[in-house]
Amino acid sequence: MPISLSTRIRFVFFVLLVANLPVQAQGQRGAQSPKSIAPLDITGYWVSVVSEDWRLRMMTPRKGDYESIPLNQEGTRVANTWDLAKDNQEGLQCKAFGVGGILRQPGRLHIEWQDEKTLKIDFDAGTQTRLLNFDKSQQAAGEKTWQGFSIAEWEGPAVGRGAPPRGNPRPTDAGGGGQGLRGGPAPPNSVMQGGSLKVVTTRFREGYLRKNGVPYSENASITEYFHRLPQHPNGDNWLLVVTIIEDPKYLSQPFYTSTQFKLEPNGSKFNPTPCKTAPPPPGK
Amino acid sequence: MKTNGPLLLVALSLMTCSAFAQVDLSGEWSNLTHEDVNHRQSVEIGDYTGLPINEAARFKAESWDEAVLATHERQCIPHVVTYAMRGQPGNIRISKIDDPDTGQIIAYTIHGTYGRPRTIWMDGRAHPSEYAPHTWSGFSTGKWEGNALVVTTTHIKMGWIMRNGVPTSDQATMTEHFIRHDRHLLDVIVINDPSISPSHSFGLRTGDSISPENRMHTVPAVLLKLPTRYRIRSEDMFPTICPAPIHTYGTFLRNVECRLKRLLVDPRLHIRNTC
Repeated sequence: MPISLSTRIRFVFFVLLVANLPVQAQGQRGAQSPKSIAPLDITGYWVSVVSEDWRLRMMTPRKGDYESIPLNQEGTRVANTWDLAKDNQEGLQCKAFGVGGILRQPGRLHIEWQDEKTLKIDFDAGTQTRLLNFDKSQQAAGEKTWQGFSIAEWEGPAVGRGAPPRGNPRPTDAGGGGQGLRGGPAPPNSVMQGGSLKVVTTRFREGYLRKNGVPYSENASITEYFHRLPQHPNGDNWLLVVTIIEDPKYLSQPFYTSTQFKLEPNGSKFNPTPCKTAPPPPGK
Repeated sequence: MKTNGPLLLVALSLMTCSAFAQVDLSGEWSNLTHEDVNHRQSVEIGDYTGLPINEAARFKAESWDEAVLATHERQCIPHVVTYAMRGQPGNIRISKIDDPDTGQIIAYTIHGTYGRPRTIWMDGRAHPSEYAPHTWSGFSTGKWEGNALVVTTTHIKMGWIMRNGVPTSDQATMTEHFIRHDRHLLDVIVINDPSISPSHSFGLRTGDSISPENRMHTVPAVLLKLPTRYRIRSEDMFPTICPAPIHTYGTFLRNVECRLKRLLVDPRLHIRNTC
């Protein structure tokens, strides 16, 4: 029996729809809570591993030591006016523990879900707390704070033909493939597996990029990406946070840093301390 | 037919739109020096801050003499991969190699300012036998995990992490995560080396029976990074020059350099009079 043209087209249309189901499934997941569709788990206790910039992070650098920060003329001028005693006198001890500098402080983080739409990060350095809101309809209210108002969103891994394979491929799996193409790994259970957390923060108070008074303004743009690296063969679990600060007032170009943390088994070493900046070493 | 045509187009567009979300690492990337600048260029002798090294590694570093690179037989030694990816100026070019028949990416290559060209095999091949020759750039394989390209490099010659002699042994494994956000590419470098790590590391092999909790405290890794920004001009790529002029080996050895200049008069060394 001959098959009509319209039947053939309907069949092709059906096949295409079925092939496209993973993309639709991803869209349906958008209706679920951010916690339930989290492509990576960054909760837990993390300790900052200072294998870079040790001299600039583990102690207070001398005034005028702005190594590697792309300060403009105004930024340099303001940094040169830093006065630790004056900050302490005026109750501004937490200027070095604001959202632009807190991740570079040595110490520990405790990340947990406050509710289905909010991640909470507690810092023991300076006893600070950040809330990452996934609800974009929320508006910042009240006065500006040291940690500001953060909007978060998940960023999934690349998908589609030719994209990196998703899931946990076997050690022998090659790159490429995906979507069932020959040579690609089997599709994972979670469409969103992998990926990163993007956080954009506004409404924060002016603070310090480093303890020695290198400034960022309250109008700066701060974007962060949180990554959890795959577990290393030695058992280490790493959290990596990329921070991009754009501040035309004090910086001549975006200031790009990345900070790493290692997962700890529990919170026994989490030790909140007040905002306090040690004086820089004497001499030149 | 008229009613099904638009539907077919919609279906086709739905089918293909996701293919554009691919992460592309290829291109020229310029080095960003917003952190750890000193450790990536002319680091002071004895500055090992932040690195989890044991006494043996410290001893090795303290006996380091970079002036040996100026000797005739060592002038063509490139920087080892454990340093080359971070050394200044550190600009890199990443290229794709695809299979002409399938179009699949079978390898990436990385050409950098320092070190030897690297090939990262993406076709699933295994690493060679442990007895295979070790090279300055090692043997690298890669696979995508999430939106990061994870590269494992073994068979690296004994080398260094910093230019003040903090060593790596030929047992080192370098794991990298290439992560791109818009115009920024980050190479997260984790070096596991049982020979330079503090206690508990000797004799530990993959597959040894130890509890997960203990494993978290053994064989500390050195985690370093190369941040780069897209895109530089091709003219900004400076290949390693061989023989290398002695003045490129770090300002901290300026005194040694000047003494050598007085002793060595061979014009083949291309020594500049900067004293």
